[in-house]
Amino acid sequence: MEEYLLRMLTFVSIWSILIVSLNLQIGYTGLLSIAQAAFWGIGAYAYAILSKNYGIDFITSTVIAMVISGIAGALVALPSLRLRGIYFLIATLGFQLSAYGVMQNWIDVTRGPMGFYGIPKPVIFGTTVSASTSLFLLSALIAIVAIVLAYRLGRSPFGRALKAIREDELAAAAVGKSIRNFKVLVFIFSALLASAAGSLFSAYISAIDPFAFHVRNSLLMIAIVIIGGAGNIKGSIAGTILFLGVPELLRFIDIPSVYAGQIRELIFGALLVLVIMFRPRGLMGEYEFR
Amino acid sequence: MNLFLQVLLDGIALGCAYALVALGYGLIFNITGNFHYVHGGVLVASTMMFYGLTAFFNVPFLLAVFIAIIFAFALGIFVNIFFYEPMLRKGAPILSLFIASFGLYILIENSLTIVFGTRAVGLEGSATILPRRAYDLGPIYITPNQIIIIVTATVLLVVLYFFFTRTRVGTAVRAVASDADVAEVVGIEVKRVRHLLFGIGSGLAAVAGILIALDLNAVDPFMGPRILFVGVASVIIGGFGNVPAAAVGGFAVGVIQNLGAWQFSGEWQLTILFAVLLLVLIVRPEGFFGKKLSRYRE
Repeated sequence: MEEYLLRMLTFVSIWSILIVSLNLQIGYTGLLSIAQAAFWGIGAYAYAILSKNYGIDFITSTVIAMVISGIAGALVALPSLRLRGIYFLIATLGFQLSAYGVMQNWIDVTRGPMGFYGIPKPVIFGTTVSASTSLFLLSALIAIVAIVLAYRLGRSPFGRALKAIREDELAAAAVGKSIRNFKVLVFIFSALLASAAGSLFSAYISAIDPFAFHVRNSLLMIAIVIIGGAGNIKGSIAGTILFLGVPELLRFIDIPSVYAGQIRELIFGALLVLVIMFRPRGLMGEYEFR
Repeated sequence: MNLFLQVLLDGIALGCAYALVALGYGLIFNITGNFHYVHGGVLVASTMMFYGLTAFFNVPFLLAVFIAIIFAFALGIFVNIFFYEPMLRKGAPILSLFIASFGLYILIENSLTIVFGTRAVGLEGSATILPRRAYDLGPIYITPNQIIIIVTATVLLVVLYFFFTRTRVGTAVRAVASDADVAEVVGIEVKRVRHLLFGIGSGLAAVAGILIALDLNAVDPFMGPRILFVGVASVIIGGFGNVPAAAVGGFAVGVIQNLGAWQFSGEWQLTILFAVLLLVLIVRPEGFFGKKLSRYRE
């Protein structure tokens, strides 16, 4: 039972990083991108390859992974951000699908659909972290750092500029904010955090395959942000707990466990439609997503 | 047997089905500007309905196709009336419509996997009435399914072309697509035109889904988005506002995918397609044959 709880809490920590970082784009800046799972995957695969094939320790390989994700994020954001709305969305979708294709097909490096096994547990300053308690503490620590960073960012002048862009781009430009720079920076920052979550994820579960980084998960992440409340960090964490907790709760009801995944998604789909139609600000949002 | 011609023929069959996907998606996308993710759900739901009717109830082939098309037609209009229009009335932005659309897709997909399971299954029952053999045409072999796909797609494309260019309703549709406000002013019922387009676009999705199922001889409850993304890419690459170009784009995707799969390993084709999509959006967001569009268009 304790193992089970720790496992749940570790997943909540990892997913919180992803959702909070996506919320910086959606909720703070009003950018909707379907590429978060791709950056998550870049982090996961970069860690897996660096640590297993080259024996590099956790912190170094996570940082290298973040650099790679940051560069990829810049390469996507710089040109795509000339587009707006649905077109920006489709451009990020193009990146997500291409990145997934690479994970799936570049078999020499990623081992494709067979999955990448035997990823080493994180090695930090020469010690291997392998007990579930310490792994949870590591994930929680990184999650807390990410959340605090996101929270502070929201209150900083930078965050206020983002919200100004979200509310009225023209007015923000008129007071001398470079809209494009702010958007690119927030996109890259969000990619960096997602990549860190990916490294953590692959170090924790030690076997990954491309399916976790499918476009479907990018879309589910958007759903969690919107349901939790765009622009609200607490809402994102609540949304994550709801998303990961519901199937666990279903175990206690008399539902055949084969259907648990489907029922969770049915509940989520219905919730998403209801929220976006009747309460666009989400469960605890400050801002009506538009 | 000539391998090149054979691969080309297989590509043409797939391309015909993709052309219908792109056409149906393009009709809806061009008039609403919404991503309309649930289009993938409409496609897979109607294809699974065709599968269910033929495999479990042995409903005659053509009747099953007819029911599936009517179902898709109604589902498309239902989504527009009960979800998109109320949201638009409340002033919701296009991106919210996309999110609702994705929510609806999740509902459809999970309902389908609860009923039909999560695996791809082969066609059964009355869906397999066509002879399972290939006709020898000298250099190539052609299967009855391929003949049906090519003939159906060609006939539908021609009929729709005449519908949009020669009939009053078709002209009204084009008027709404080019400028909804002006169309309203000259007395076109924009709302009804939009319903009709959702219906036709969704019906085409059903036809395309069934044709692809016939081509593969199988259905897969997760095939919706995969096919939808091909449609999206065709519409963007072909050009916003240019529906025939989208259909040509879809056709080209099918042919190139098959020819490419013959030369390289098959799975890279879609990756390359989406990389091209990204590139086109960046370099030439209006597509190859599209109307010039403002970078600041929402």
